[in-house]
Amino acid sequence: MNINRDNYPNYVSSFLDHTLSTVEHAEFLLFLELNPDIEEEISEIGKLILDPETKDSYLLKELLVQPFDADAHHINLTNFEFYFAADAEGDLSEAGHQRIFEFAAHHPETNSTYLLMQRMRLEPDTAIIYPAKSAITKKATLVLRPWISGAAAIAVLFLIVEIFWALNPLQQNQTAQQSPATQQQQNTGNTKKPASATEKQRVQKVGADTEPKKARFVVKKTQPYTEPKTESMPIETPSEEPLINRVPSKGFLNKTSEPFNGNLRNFYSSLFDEIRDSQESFLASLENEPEKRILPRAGTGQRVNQILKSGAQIASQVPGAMNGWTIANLGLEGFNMLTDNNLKLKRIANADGRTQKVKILDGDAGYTIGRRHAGN
Amino acid sequence: MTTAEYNLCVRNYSDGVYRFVLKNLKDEERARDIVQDSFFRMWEKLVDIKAEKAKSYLFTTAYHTMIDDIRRNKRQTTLDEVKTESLTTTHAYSDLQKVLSMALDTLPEIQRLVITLRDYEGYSYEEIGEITGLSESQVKVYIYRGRVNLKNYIGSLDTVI
Repeated sequence: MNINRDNYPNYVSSFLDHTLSTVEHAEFLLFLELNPDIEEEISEIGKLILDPETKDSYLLKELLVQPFDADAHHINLTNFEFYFAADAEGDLSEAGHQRIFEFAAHHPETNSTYLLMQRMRLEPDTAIIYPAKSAITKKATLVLRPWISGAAAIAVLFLIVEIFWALNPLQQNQTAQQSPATQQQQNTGNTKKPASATEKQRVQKVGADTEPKKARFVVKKTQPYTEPKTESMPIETPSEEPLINRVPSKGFLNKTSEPFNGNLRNFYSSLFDEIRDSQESFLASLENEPEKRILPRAGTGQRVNQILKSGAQIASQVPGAMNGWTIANLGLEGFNMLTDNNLKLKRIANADGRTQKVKILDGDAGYTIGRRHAGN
Repeated sequence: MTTAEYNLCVRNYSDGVYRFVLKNLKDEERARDIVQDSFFRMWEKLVDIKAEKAKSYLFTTAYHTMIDDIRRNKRQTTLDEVKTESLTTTHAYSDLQKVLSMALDTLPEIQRLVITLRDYEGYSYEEIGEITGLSESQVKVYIYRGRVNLKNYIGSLDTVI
């Protein structure tokens, strides 16, 4: 290795760090001896190296230790001020507070520092006020949040619906009165089917119609007619009991294009029996009673007298017998009223007057009704 | 937060925020601007801020605005620049608070900030940490160092009558 004035800078740093080998170190010392100016330069550079052993130490190590030394175990004469500050802030435990007192007692020169630290508290200067409050104050305005607006709209809508529901006149009228046809159906037992509008008109028309008609009997009410309820009376919702579902409407009869078969015949046979049974007790009472005038009850009008007269007339015309033919005829009239049909009974009799067959005629169509004999 | 609650915040907190900013900036005009900006920002976010968080929001906003202003203007003093010996040995002060106020001006920026929040507004270490973005430990250390520096500025107790 040949150290000269051209390459000596390469060795200066290693020389100052004492990292040159023994041979290199000896050669560099020889070079510096032969070059005094460079030796002086190297010496000045060596003075700039900092000594790592410094007197200043970080006094807040205890404050950085985790967890915080709340019991003041590590208080000493170099860091006691910070423990005094911690005690003034209330960050020490009871044991730490006690240890502070013990430390101060053992080191009286620290007492004044402890008292001073207790007073290092700033107080706000209330004389300092913000002068421009008016510039940043806002006027209060009514602001409806969206959900409040929506809730208010729903509440108003609900109120309107409630008022409409309470004042709905149609609903009140329906609950206030029953139609006469419905009452009539209930009285005769044929309540399983609601009366059609045509039927209702028919019932009202019969009551008003005073023209004599041939063999036309009116189905009578078995209960007195009741006035519709006035507004002063509590409104009750009528219970519409279902009418007899086997009572067909005229439409039903017209719909079928099939011939009168056994099933349909059996249906009408049972219907015939029901009508007969419903009228039999009433007709029986008329059969035995003489014709007498009865004071009409309110609302019944002429209808009662007509019915009684008709019953007596029947009894007088067929003395001693209210046969099935008569009863069936009465029943069929009632069936016509209920179902808006125009069925008629036709009796086919032989030469001696005995009834052979009974037919129910509907225009050109005919339905033969016969009694099933025993054994058939 | 409603407008009424906002106006209540103006009445209750504007002085405290102004005092806090003024003590740190030493500039009345700039302190007014920062207070005004802080309240205007809160007004813009009125519906997003709850009334109980309003004070914290105001001080946080004022703090960050003030820090930006300080760094921009480079108004920072260090304790080394102040000759505390002359003050503690040749002068006697009859009002400790006045002395402390003068001592506060000599503190480094961050120590001054945390001590004013601690003493003027009574914030906890955690709350100060939320406002300044520091941890609780950092806040604690800065406050301790600030107290010691204030004590050193005051000197011995005998100098304060």
